Amino acid sequence: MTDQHKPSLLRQVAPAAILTAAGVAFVSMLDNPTGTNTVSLDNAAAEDQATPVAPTTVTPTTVTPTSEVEQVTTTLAPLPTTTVAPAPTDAPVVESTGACDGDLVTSPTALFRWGGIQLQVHFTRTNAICDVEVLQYPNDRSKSIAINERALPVYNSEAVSANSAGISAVSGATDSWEAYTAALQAVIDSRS
Amino acid sequence: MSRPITTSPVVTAQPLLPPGTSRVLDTDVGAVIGALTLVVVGLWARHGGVSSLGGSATDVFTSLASLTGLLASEAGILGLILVTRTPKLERRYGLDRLFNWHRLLGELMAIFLVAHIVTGVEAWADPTGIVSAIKDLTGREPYMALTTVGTAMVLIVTVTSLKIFREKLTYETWWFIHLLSYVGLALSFSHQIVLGTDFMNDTVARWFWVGLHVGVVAWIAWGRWGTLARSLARPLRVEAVRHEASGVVSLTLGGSNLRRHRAASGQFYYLRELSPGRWWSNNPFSLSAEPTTSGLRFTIKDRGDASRAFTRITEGTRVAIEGPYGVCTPDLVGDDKVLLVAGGVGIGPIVSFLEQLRPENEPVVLYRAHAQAEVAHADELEHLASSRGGRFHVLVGARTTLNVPDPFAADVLLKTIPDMAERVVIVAGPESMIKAVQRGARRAGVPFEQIHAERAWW
Repeated sequence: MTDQHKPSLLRQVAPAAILTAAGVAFVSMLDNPTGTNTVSLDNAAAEDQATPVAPTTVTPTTVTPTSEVEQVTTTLAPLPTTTVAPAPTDAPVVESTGACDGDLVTSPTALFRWGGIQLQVHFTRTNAICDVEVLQYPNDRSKSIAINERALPVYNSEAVSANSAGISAVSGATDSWEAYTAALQAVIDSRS
Repeated sequence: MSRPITTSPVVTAQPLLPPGTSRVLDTDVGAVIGALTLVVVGLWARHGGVSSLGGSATDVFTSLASLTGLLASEAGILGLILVTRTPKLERRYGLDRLFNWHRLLGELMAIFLVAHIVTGVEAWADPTGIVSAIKDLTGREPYMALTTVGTAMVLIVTVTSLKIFREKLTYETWWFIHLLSYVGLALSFSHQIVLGTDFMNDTVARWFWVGLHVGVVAWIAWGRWGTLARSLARPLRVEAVRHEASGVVSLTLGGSNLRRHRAASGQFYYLRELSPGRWWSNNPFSLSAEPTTSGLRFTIKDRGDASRAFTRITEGTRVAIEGPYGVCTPDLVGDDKVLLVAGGVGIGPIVSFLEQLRPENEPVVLYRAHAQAEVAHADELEHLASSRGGRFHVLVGARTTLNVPDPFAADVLLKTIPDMAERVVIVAGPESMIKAVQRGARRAGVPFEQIHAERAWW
């Protein structure tokens, strides 16, 4: 009645085909991280600092964010060490592995979606991990602080007792766990 | 063929050209909705939404929060596009259908929104707990205070549009509450960009999302506010006011603007009386005569609401019009035989419709009214019907006083109109009468697609 002429099949199908193709093309242009959390190491910092340094006398230099950093986390560029742990000379009590009298190594910053984690790892002379301190963790939102303040001490003690990056995650802090182990592994790799 | 000019003083009135037809197809609309959904879901999936569903409970909630948030936005955007009153869409589907879909999309959006809030809080509650999560998400996180206010506004709009509440509000109150949805959507926008990872970490997706919203706002500005501005800039004047029946008045609006205006019988306009205290009230009324260069006639019944002011309008008052809208026009019927059914002031669109019919249509008009005093345009209808070789029947009285239980039952219709099944049925009036006519006509053998109902706009 109203439609005097029925539109051709092409006319009916073409818009759907074109828009679907455009949609697929657009979606394939988007970032496709392998998981929800991607950890990348700030390698520029790693080259500078992953080399063993003399124990106790050397304080780690501050890591400056590079342009690569900003590209990965748009609004959460890691802040320079804002939560510096007590100085390494406040020797933690470490059993069995002996005194912390070996190298003090600063890790590269592990960047992930909530910010960056950077560690300072203290070794004994026999090359065992005797203390880990977190130099930096995401602290720009209250939730990040709450999660990390709970989880990071656990990871620190797990790292010392495992003497490796093979530690287990705390529930609710898996993103931090991924970044933490990546940073720790980078330190261990740099010494092998 | 004589064409009585009942209200216009100008004898040289020319019928207006009908509005152009829209070439938009259902498949076009489907393609746009489908492609947008593809992009929205694809964006979520590509950013790890699907793989997160296999993760921890928190991963699942985070992923669902992001999906429901995106879908709520999509429903909102599509709903807004429908009320831009874009001529191509309006000419294809009619404003009442677009409004219906707008309402459905609004309800869909509210459902996604509630799901988004629940899953979002659940995701954020790990490991700090629900209370801390609610504190974070209502204020401590960036932009979330704005978002909370915005969400509350959007939910208020949705709730007041639910039928049970909508009926308790006047049109104007409801409409002003409805304006909050613009503010609400604007306030909630920023959290979409900064809080979730979909747009924070992906520049392409972020620009797409911002562009989509800017585009829709521009579309609304042009379609909605632009129409309003144009209507205010070129108002018509009330040229004639006629008492038609008890509480029923017809207004004829005229102006030089009409020479290039296009409209057809059966359509309706939003009228805005430009006088102090009335200019903000905008109400839909159907044409009650064939639209001509000399004037648009509307028949208005005083129903105690905003329509009362229109029945008291005086000659010379300026009235801004928006329209025409509606797709129930005489081009629906072609050369087919026609049955026109009017109830109450539904007679308006039926008179105008009849005026544009021809003898081939052999029009039969059924006019149902509660009381003789409420019967309007009876002489006009009698004349129009007989000059087209048709018939005009008035059925007056409360239902209990009639000699049949249902005047629109199939057997009653067939007795009066033996060739009922061949006819195109146009019905205008109250919802209950429309339903009764649809039921009776279907049983009398009229195919579904041959029955057209015009919602009551007055």
